[in-house]
Amino acid sequence: MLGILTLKDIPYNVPILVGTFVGVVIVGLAVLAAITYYGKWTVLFKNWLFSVDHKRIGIMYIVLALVMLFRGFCDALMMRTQQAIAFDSPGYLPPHHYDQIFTAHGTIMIFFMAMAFMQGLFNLIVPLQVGARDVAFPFLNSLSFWLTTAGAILVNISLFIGEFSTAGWLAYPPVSELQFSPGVGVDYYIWAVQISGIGTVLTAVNFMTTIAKMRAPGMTWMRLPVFCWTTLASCIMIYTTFPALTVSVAELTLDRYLGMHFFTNDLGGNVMLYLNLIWAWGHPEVYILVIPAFGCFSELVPVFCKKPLFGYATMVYATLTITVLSLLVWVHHFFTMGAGASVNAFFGIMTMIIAIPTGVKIFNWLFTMYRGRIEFTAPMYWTIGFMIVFVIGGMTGVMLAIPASDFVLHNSEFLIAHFHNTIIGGVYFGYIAGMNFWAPKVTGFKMSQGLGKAAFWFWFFGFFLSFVPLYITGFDGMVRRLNHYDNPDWHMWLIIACIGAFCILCGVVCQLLQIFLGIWNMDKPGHRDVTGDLWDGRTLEWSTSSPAPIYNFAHIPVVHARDAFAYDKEHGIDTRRTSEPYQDIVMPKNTSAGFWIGMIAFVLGFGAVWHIWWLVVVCAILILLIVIGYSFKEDKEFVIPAAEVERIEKEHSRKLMTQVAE
Amino acid sequence: MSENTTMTANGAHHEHENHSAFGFWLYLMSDCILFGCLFASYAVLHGQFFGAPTFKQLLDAGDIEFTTVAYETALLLLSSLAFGFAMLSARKSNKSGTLLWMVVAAVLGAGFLGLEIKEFIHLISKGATPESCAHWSAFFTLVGTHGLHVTIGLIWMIVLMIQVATKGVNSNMMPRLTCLSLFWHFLDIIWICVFSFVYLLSMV
Amino acid sequence: MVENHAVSSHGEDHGHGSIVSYIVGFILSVVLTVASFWIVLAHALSNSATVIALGVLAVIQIFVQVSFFLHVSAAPEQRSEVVSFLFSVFVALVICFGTLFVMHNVGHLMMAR
Repeated sequence: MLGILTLKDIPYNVPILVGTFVGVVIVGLAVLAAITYYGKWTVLFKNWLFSVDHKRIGIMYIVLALVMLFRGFCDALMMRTQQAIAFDSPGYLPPHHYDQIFTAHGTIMIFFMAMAFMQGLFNLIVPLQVGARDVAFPFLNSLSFWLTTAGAILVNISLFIGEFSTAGWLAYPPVSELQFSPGVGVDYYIWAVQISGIGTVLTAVNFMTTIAKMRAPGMTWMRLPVFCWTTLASCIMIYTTFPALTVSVAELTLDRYLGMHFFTNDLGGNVMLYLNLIWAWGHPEVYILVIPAFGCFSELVPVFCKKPLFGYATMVYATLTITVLSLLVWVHHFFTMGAGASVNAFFGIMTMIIAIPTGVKIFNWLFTMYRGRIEFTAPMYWTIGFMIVFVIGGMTGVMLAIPASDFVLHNSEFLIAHFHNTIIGGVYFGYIAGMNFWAPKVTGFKMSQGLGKAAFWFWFFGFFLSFVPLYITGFDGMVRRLNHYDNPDWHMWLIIACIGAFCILCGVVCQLLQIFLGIWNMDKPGHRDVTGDLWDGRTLEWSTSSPAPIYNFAHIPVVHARDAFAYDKEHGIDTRRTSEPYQDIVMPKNTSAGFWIGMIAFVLGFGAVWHIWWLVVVCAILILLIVIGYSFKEDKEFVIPAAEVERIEKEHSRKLMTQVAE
Repeated sequence: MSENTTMTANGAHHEHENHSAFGFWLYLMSDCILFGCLFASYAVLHGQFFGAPTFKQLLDAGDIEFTTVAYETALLLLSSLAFGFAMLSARKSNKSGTLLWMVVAAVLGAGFLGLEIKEFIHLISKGATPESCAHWSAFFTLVGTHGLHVTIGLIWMIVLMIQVATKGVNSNMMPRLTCLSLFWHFLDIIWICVFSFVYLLSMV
Repeated sequence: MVENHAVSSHGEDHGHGSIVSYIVGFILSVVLTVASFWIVLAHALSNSATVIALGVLAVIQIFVQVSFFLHVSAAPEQRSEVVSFLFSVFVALVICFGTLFVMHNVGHLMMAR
């Protein structure tokens, strides 16, 4: 009936987990009680969970990403604390638990924090920037979100039912094979990654179609905002490389569930094939994440420097070059596997070549800032911090790209320091800069600049405190994923790293405060952005109100130049075309189908993890029926009457007028 | 889509078809790379028999017959052609013609699937099971994934046949039929690689 | 749609195909398939030449089906489709041949018995 799930799989004897569970239950009940008290259940489901509006889905993605950031960051703090105290002692985390923590940290941060944040930014900004009313496939968009969420829930439920994988964030065989990981941990990993992976590919298809087919009239390819270019590049990499992830993880699944021999030690299995395939996805994946962050910088630097982006065309070409090159470098993750000089030399050189287009981008931003009237807002702080941190990360990356030095540094703490240098310095700083930049557009309220800057300083110094020691211990021979150690040389550095992690914690607290205070004060005068164009923006998203109306644009804007809105403002063109008569607008109806498919996919994954086959079959049939049923539905759209559009637009115009009068 | 909708600046109505066909095309490209990865796995693992019956042994014993592959190829190609004719009928809003050709395509596709399942069962009975060695793991996964796609295509085709039968061939149906036709032709293209690089290459 | 007619070789609506294009595609596919089978069964060529011939015939047939069944052509309004198709084929080839290159090399060096 319940497959292999028994009562002893509930870890009620692990105090940390019981404590966490109690905490989650208390917070969960408080949230549920609050929703009930304020009577928001209908609003929550009808207007948010069932929504197909890209702006709401974007916000939900970012909420998911922040929750997952919290979870992943707790894991990080636990690891740093463990390593700080585990000198000549076992520390407080037994190896089995510690291994689950570092696996969960990597899995959550990449798949459910960074990927979710990135898709959130796509959703919030891309349709507005290309001048569209929604994405190409609004229902698929909702489905993507719920599949990602299903994966995230699956990873987190493993805390309290069963265990999580101990095989690292990429689940290398043979450790992840049944022989060495007989528990359900790897299965949780497999199903979470696969379910959310489907959602990610759907997102890529959706946004590529949106950008390719739904650009406003006049928006030629070379007038496309850079963030949209980077979204496109990222989506191209997703749709071309996620299949490699799907296949490698699916083959691992077949090994574990059906006794096949893809990656086993016996009967012809080939472990290195897994590494080869999964890194064919894994390396492009880091570019999938960082390229949209580059897009954020490319949007906000011109705005805060009050001049157009330096070298738009080179920025576009550099982005596309990185897209292609990223597919040709995957072997640098396993130079040490024993391939010969020809293989290692080829992939080493390709890796170093990527530094060139990346360098082009850095210089483009620097030259945009050069002689600009720079406004030092929080997003600008993150941007300048990024340039410093990311360039160091890139340099150490070039060191690792040299096969000979990689043989020394492979899988050492040096590597850990390197990729955190690029992922935190590049991806995280970029997304947070983007969030600070676009939050007023999305929510309609301003976020505290002071807290944003404080958060930046904590993160910036916390980052160096945490990871520079790891470079040093890495050179000193410390390998990654150590549970405890007896080398006195490392101890001091690991204590410093732990202090750094707590410094970053202060940064996280500042960011949470920034968000909470923003929401708390949102109705107070002076905290609202009534203009819709808080920063004197250059692209179309700033031409509509904040938050944008459900239809985004009453009249689809006509684009006359690159930086369309800046051009219109300079030439006195009314982008909103308020004098023209309004028309009815057709919008997609909200639907619960995406939500239910996501939730059933979660149950399906759970059933598969625990070998509850009847449940898997029932869920699969239910999903099929919902999809077919949805395809039979006819009225998937509704009409916003012209009068209603006119009322909303007049209201916004009136607010603009009062603002000007003041 | 309701009738009283107005055209937006983009001419939204007309473009919807383009969007779903293009979006589905992108998904197919992703699927194409998925098969590329499966072929890569097969290429690396082929020949790893480790005591299980080899392809040559089964071929010599008559357990794998080139005629089965030839029949499978013929059925899938004819099915692809039949669906092409269904699309031509649909474009002329010929409901009965569309349905007729769809039934033909579905029957031929089901025939392909039947032959494949029969072959799989036979191979397994001869000891060439997916668990026996890396070669057969990769073989069954690659060919089976194609078969799974055909199965999904058949389910989809049946659903669309019901929709065509009840609602006729209207502007709502065309994008769906177009997507399925892309999918169905695409599966035939994948099959070209399967019979060339999995079956024929092993017979060399 | 005006330009479609200009580039369409069969006079029918471009991107939709005509009965002629389907029949031509079908006959070409049959010919190419029979050629592949014949080369193998008749042992007409040496082993390595057979492998190359199979590859070439398969690639030709893929392009035949893509143009005659999927109706993808070099027409301007299909540029996105063509570009995405060629790029995907490129990536699939990179993954296949890259994997073979890497795994063959590592197998040669590490698995030698």
